[in-house]
Amino acid sequence: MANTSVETIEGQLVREIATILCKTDADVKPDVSLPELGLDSMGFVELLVFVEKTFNLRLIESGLTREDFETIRALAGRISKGAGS
Amino acid sequence: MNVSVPYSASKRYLSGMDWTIGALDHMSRRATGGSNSSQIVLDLGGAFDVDRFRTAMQDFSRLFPLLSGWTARDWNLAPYWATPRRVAESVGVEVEELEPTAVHAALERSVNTLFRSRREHLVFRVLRVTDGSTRVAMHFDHRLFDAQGAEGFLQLFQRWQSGEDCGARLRRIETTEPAQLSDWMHKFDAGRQVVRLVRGFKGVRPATLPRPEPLRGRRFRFEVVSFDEREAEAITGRAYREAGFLMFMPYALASVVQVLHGAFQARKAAGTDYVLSVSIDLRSPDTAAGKLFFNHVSFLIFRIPVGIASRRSEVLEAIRGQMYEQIKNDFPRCLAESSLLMRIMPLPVLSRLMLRPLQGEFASLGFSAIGKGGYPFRDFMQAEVRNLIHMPLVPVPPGLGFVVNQFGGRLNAVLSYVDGLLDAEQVGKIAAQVRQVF
Repeated sequence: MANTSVETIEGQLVREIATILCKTDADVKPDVSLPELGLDSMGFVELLVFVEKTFNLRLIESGLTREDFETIRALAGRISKGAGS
Repeated sequence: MNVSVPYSASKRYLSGMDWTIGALDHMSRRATGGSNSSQIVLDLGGAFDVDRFRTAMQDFSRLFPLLSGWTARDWNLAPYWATPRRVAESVGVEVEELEPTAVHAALERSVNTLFRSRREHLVFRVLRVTDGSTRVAMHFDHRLFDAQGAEGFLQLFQRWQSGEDCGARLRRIETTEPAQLSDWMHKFDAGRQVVRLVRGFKGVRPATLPRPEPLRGRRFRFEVVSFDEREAEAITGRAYREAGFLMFMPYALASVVQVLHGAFQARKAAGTDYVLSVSIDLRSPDTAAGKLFFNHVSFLIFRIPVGIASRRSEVLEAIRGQMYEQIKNDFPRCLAESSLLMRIMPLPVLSRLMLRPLQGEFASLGFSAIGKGGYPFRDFMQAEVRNLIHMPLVPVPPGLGFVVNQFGGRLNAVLSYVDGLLDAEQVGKIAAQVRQVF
C-alpha cells in the first residue's frame, strides 16, 4: 500500500465504479458523492469487495462512516491510510 | 413519433430467472388461484383526460406486440416468449369513480383481479376520487415486467405521450435474447456456488406464519406506510449512522425483521431461523432503459436465527455480513447463471424442486427495496404525481412480504400478505411499529 499513490488508487476506484454502473470512466468524477453517481447498497458492497480483493482491506468491518466513503477521493484517502487507522 | 421498434424475431428466449418467476407464478396459482403479478399505483393530485390516456396507451402499446405474448417451448427445449405480429387486443383501461374511503379496497381489488386471458399481461385502472384526486393502478404480470421494468415502461409512456422524440430510447429496448445453450461448464460452476450456499441452510427450519385454510381463492391484502420527505431524510440519516454509509437496504430489512418478529411470536410461529428472500436488480442505472421487459433480477438469501431477532444490532450485523459474503462469492449472478440449467424442467416440477431445500417452504418472507428513478417525473398526463407505490402479490409460500421504495423524496413501506395470515389488529401493530423503528 505504501507504494501506491492516492491518485493511482483513485484511478482504480473510478474504473471499478464505472464497471459497476456501466458508465465510462469519464462519467465517474472522483469528487462527486457516491449516491449521486448512482451507487446503492448493492453497488457499494460490490465496491467494498473490490477494495478487499485489490487492496486487502476489509472495510465492511469498519464504521463505514460518511466521511470516509462520501466520494471516490475520500475513499482513496481512506485506503491509502490503511485499514487500521 | 412514427417509430418502428426493432423486432428481429417473434421469439424471446427466457432467462433462467424468467423461468424461475414463471415457477413462482405456477406455485401461486396452485396455492391460491392467483398469479405472480404486481401493481404500481400513481397517486395524482388532480384529474386527467382518461379518453386521451386510453387512446395514447392504445397507440403506445401497439409498439410492443410482446405485450400479447405467451410462453412456449422451442425445438431445442429452451422456453421462449412467443410474440405475435401485433398486439392482440388493446391494453385495458378501466375507470371507476369512488369516495376516498373506498380507494384502498379498490386498489386491493385491482391487483387481485385475474387477467382475462393468457395473452393479457397489463391492465390500467383509473380511480377518480370524489376529493378531486386520482389513482392510476398499473397491474402487470411479473413474467413480463419486474418492478423496475414496469416503472421504466411508465416513464417511456410519459415521455412518448408528451411528444418527446423517443426513437433512440425505443431502439435501445431489448426484445430478443439468445437461447444461451452453450458454455455449460460455466453454468455448472455457477451451480456449484449456489449449492454451496444452499448446503449452509441444512437443518434450518424457516419460521413461517401458520397459513389459513383453505388457501384456495384467498386474496392479498396490503398495508401502506408512507413517510414524507422530512421523515424519509431522517430515516436515511439513521440508516447511514446505524448500518453504515449507503447501507439503506440492510437497515430497512433489519427493521422489517424486528417488526415482524413480534407478529411471528404472537402467532407462535415454529422454526429455527427467519429466511429472507431479497430480490435485487441486476441492471445498472445506465442499462435500465434498455432492459424494460422481462426479469433482470436475482436474489440474496439471508438467515437470521430466531433467537437474535429481537436484538437489532445483531440482526443488522448478520445481514451486512451475509450480504457481503454473498456478493463476494458472486451469488446473485451465479444464481441467475445456474438457473439457466433449470429451464429444461416443466414449471410444476421446478416449483416443487424450489421448495425441497427448506422442507416445503420457500422463505419466511419476501423483501424488495426498489431503486430510485424508475419513474423520475413529478407529473403523469399533466397531473401532479404525489406518490408512487408498489403492491406486489408475494408468491405463496410464504405469501408475506415487504416492499420499500422511494419516490420524490418520500419513502414507502408496503406490507403484502395473503388474507388470513395476519389479523387486523396485528396489521395495525405492524404499521405502528414500522413508523417507530424505521
